[in-house]
Amino acid sequence: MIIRTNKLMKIYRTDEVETTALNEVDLEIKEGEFVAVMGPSGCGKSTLLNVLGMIDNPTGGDYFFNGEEIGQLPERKRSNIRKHNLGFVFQSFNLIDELTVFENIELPLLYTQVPAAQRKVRVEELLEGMNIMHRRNHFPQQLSGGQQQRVAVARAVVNKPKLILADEPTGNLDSANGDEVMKTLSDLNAEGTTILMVTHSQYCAEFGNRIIRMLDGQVVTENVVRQYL
Amino acid sequence: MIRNFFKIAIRNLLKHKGFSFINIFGLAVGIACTLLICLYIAHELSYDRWNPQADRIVRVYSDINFGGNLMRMAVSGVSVGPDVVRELPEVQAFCRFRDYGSYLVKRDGDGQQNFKENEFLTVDSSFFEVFPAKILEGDARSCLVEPNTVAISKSRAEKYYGSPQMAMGQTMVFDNRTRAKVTAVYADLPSSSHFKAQFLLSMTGNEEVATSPQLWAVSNNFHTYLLLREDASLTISRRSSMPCQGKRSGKPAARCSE
Repeated sequence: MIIRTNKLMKIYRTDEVETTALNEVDLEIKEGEFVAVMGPSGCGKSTLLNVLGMIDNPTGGDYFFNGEEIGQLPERKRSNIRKHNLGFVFQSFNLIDELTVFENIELPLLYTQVPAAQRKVRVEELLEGMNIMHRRNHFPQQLSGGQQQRVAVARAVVNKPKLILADEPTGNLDSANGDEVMKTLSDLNAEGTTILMVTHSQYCAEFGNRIIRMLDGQVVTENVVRQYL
Repeated sequence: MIRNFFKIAIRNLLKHKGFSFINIFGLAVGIACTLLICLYIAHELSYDRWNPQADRIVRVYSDINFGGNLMRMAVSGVSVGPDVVRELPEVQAFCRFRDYGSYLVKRDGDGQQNFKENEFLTVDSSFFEVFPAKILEGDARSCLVEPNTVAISKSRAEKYYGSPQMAMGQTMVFDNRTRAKVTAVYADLPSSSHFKAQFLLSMTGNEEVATSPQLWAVSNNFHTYLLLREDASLTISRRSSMPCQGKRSGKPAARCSE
């Protein structure tokens, strides 16, 4: 079990308002699964992703990652787990405009202090695999949306993470480019990477093994699309 | 990783040259202003701190009710200093300044050129006891005791005679009539001194001092500084000052205070 949560809570408080973004969420994700999270805007999908991605702290409940309770770990430890085990893909790509495609993909390897020679080999492997080798020295703004998202996916997987968290990865793409990205994610999943993806699109969600539907901070239904092997 | 940060920063600067210039220039101006303000404040707060006795020096001010007009002035009568020292045991010494404005100054001798000098004070011989500026030549205690003696700053000694040593014992002429002998040369007072003085003329034999009525309420032309003894507190001094009011004029006319 890569992820297990037990009554996970996330409450945002301001001076006047208290918003319950996650309300006692119980969730289990096995290694190798491709899980899609769906639900209307404001239902807590992105909050769930942020908490599971250790970007945000839960307010209550337990969160076990790879069997280790990480809900209350100090930030340094959490970021250490994050940079070695997690990859993120965002709707708006979040590539660094000043870095080339190669440098963007290389970035997570710098955080984990991989030697330069190994970095080069690993990045070139991915450039090859994502069909963007000819774009290696281009800057993100010189690429199409689909190509940018493929670079973002490459950056997410370069460290060979156990889990990829994708927040509406096709939200800013046309259908052809969206398909390409979904195919890339499916291929990664087929190679054994666990994926948790938030999406509004039923079509994209069906690329997964399981669809979780959320409403008002709670998981309301779970459907198995196809049996996870 | 640090290299990466620099790479991103430099590429970003080059990509937005105009905005980068405005931002960096603005930041530079901001930092420069902050530093200037800090230096200015530090300078303001350092005023008179060059004097190790600063916390023991008070200046007499006068509240004068003149036909219903209340005037508060930093000057006092000619006799206030001597009276206060006599009456108050807490006061160790006094020093009066009389500022007659600018003087025409020249070396004694034929054909010498006059220079207008603005920083000129006539002071009591206790000046260096109250304001212990560094003496380069001469004796601090005795240099202003005799009439027609003058202590000059190092910069003026160099201006008129080339060096402090050369200035000693020379005669200077002020306003083409008063002659005074240079008996001391002192290091220039710091810019954080609340008074400026390049020339300190001895008050001994001063005509105004000799002829002014010895009353507190008249001839309020003298800045009077009091040096308190080390064990005296300002509070005691204020309280103790009461008996000396009006001793000579018959009415309260001036009081000691910070």
